[in-house]
Amino acid sequence: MFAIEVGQELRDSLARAGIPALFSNFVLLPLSQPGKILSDSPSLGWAQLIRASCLSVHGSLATAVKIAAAMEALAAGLDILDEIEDSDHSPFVLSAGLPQALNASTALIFLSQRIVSELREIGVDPTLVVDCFFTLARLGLNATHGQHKDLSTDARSGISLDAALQITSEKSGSLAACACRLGARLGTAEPEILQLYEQFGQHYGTMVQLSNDLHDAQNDVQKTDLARAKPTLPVLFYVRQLGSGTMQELTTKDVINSGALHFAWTIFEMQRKRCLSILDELDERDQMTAHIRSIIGQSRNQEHTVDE
Amino acid sequence: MNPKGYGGIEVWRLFFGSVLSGSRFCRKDLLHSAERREESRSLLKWEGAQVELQNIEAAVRRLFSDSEFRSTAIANPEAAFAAMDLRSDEQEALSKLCARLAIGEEVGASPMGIWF
Repeated sequence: MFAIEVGQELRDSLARAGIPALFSNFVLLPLSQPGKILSDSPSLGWAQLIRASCLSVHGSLATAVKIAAAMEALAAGLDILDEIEDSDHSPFVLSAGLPQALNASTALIFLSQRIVSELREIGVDPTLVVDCFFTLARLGLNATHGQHKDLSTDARSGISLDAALQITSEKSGSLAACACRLGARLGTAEPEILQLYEQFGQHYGTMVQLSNDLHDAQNDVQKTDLARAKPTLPVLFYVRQLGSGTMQELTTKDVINSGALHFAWTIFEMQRKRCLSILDELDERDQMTAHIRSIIGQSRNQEHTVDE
Repeated sequence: MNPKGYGGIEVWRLFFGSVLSGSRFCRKDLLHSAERREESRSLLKWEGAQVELQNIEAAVRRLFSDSEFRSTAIANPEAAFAAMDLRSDEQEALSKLCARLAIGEEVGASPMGIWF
C-alpha cells in the first residue's frame, strides 16, 4: 500500500509540474524495473526504510509518502549514473541509449528536489523542509565522494581492506543513512536521536552493499566487479592473496575458493550486529523500532547459499 | 587516531593513577580498563573513519589454508581464535562463520539492495 502511494506521488508530482505523459513515463521507466518501487513486486528499498523510521518516531505517514518518493527518485537517478559509470549491464541504458539515459537521470534528481519543495504547500514546517533538503544534499554528497573513490581505485592498487570498507560505507551507507534520518526527522528534531537513526542507516546500507558485492563477485556475466578488479571486500581479499600488483585474471571460482566470500560475510554479519545494537540504543530512548527490526529480519531471510 | 594509542594511554592512566592515589591494581580496575578500551576501539571502528579488518582477514585466511586450524575452529571457535587479537564482535561473527562451515553451508547472498 505504501509503495503504491509512493508510486502515485511520483506520477502526480510530474503531472503537477506539467510534464507531458510521454516524458513522464520515460523518466519513471527506471523505477519500473524489477524490484523497484513502480514494479509489480517492489523489494526492500528506500521507501520501506523511510516508512519504518517514520513509524518509529510516530511521524506523519502522509509526509513520509512524499519523502519516500523524493528518495526513490534521487536513488533511481544515481543508480542510472552508477550503471553507466561501472559499465554494468543495464536494460534501461541499453534501450534508451546513453544520452537519453543520462537525461532521465538528471530529471529524476530534479524531481526529487521538486517533491521536497512541494512539502511547503501542504503545510509542512519550513524548518523541516530545509532540514530534509540539507540531509539529502549532505549525505548525497558523501555518497558521490564514496563513488569517486570507488571509481578512482582498483583492488590491485594496494588499497587496504579498511579503506575499501570505508568506500562501501560512504557510497552506499550514506544513502541509507539519508533515508533513515529523513524518516525519523518526520517525528523528531532531537539531534542525538536523529544521529542514531543515521548511524543505523549507515551500517544497514553498508550491510546491503556487502550483500550485493558478495553476489556480484559470483556473477561475472552481468557485473564487472572482477573484470575491473573493483575494490569490493571479496575481490580485494582475493587480490591481496595474489599480491596487490598481480595482473592475473580474476575468476569467480578462485575468488570463492580463497575464502573471500566468507570474509565478506563475516563483515556483513558484524554490520548486522551493529545495526541491532543501535536499535537497542534507540529502544532505550523510547523509540518503537519494531518496523525497522522487521526489515533486518527480512534482510536475513534473503541470504542464500552459493550453490543456489 | 590510532585505537592502540588509546589503549596505551589507558594503561598509563591506570598505572600512574593507581600509584598516585596510593591504591593497587585490582581485577575490577583491569576489567574496567579492558571494557573501556574495547568500547573506544568499537567507537573508532564503527563511527569513525578508522577501521581494522586485518585480524579478521588473518583468521579467515587461516581457516582456508590450515585444515587443522579449521577443524579446531569448527569444534571450538573460542579456543581457536583466543590467540588472535580479536574484539568480541569480531570473535562472535567468526564463530558464526565456523558454525556455517561445520554444517557445510557455504556463504553467499542474493542481491538485497536496490542501489549501487
